[in-house]
Amino acid sequence: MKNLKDKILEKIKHGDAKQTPKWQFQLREFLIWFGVGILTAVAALVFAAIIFNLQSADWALRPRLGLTRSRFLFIHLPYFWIIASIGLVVLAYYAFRHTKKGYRYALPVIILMLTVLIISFGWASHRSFMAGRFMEQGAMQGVPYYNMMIRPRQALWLNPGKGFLAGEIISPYSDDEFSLSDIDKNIWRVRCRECFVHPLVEMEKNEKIRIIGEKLEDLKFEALEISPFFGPPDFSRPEIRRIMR
Amino acid sequence: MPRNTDFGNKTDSDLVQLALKKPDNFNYIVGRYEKKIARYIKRIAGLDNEDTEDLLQDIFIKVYQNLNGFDPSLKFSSWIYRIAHNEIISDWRRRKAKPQFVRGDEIDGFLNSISSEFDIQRDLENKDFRGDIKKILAEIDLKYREVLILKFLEEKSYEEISDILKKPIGTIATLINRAKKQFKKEATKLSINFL
Repeated sequence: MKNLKDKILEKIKHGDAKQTPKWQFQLREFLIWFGVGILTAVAALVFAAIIFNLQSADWALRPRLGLTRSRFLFIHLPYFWIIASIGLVVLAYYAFRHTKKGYRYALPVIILMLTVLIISFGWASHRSFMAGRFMEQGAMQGVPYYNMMIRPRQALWLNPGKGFLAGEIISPYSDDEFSLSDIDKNIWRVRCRECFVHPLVEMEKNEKIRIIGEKLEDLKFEALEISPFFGPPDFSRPEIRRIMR
Repeated sequence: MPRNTDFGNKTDSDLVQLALKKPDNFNYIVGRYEKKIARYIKRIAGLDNEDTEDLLQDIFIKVYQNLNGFDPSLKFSSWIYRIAHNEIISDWRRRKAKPQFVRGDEIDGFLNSISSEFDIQRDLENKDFRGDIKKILAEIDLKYREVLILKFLEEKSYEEISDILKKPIGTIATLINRAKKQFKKEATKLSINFL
């Protein structure tokens, strides 16, 4: 043990032990905090998607479809977003624990802090710019198998006999009519003479919509209300209430 | 080279600053912590002098390399013990051997520290009893053994142990309680009585 100091000094002088520059420690700390920030922000957007999905659930349809509350909830829970938010919280927790002082906080404290932040920012982003809607649209277009995951929910709108139809507009709207491909790829001729078109619906080709109305005959449908594919339909109008009864 | 005593009254943070300015000054840090860390290695890993010195050298090299990363809001002793802890664990993994606990000459210190805490009816002169205690400590999980050593041999506070092991203070308290329980359980198996 006598020569320990000399051995260490020798190694230092021979360049076998170089000091890591301060900026590298600072950069590491910055990157970890950046990671915490990004993960929390994305988790907030995911939470906005959960709010959006739950708000978009067609609760008024439930009695007409003859579904129990639990069955309806089971179909409508946004599992993809719930799992994604849990995963992001776990990653954010892990990143936070790796900050300089992160280890001092117990798991429940960190999770609580993250949850409060995610709910606050998620709710704010949902209220201010409908972040959840964009997330949902993005997932439908970009996440493999996402459409398959939400199919049970969409399938509720494949009930023309009960007055519900949803799908994608495949021909331009003209002479009060247009063609629609439903989620099973059946082509419907939809008539919309005096129907109410939601202001957010532009009636353009490739636009996804939901329709409340009446089935006339095979693959022909009379629309009473056309609403965006995302967001709750407006059930307040008298003719819609008549159908919902 | 200046004599050690020239820096004897400097704080750890001062020594860090001096070592950052001039590598030769790192010797004062080595001088101040060499014995403490060597003792810690022996207590936790039960290595012989040669292996202890090798590991000690690795630890101080690591300390030197990471000196710029030392956070002055932390106690330097906690920081250096943390590096030592990590290096001991790495060394243990390299060797793929369970660390042997407390060497014969460490038993008395440990017993003195824990006897009041555990209310053990002790007979320090009894060789069988000392052997039993060694057996118990060898059986205890490493994570429990480590907190017992830090608390009762190194006499670190909960906050310091938290900084060394990078775990929340609440977790440290839980670990110490569980370590005590496991110690008592193993002791009961060997018919050691508690008051």
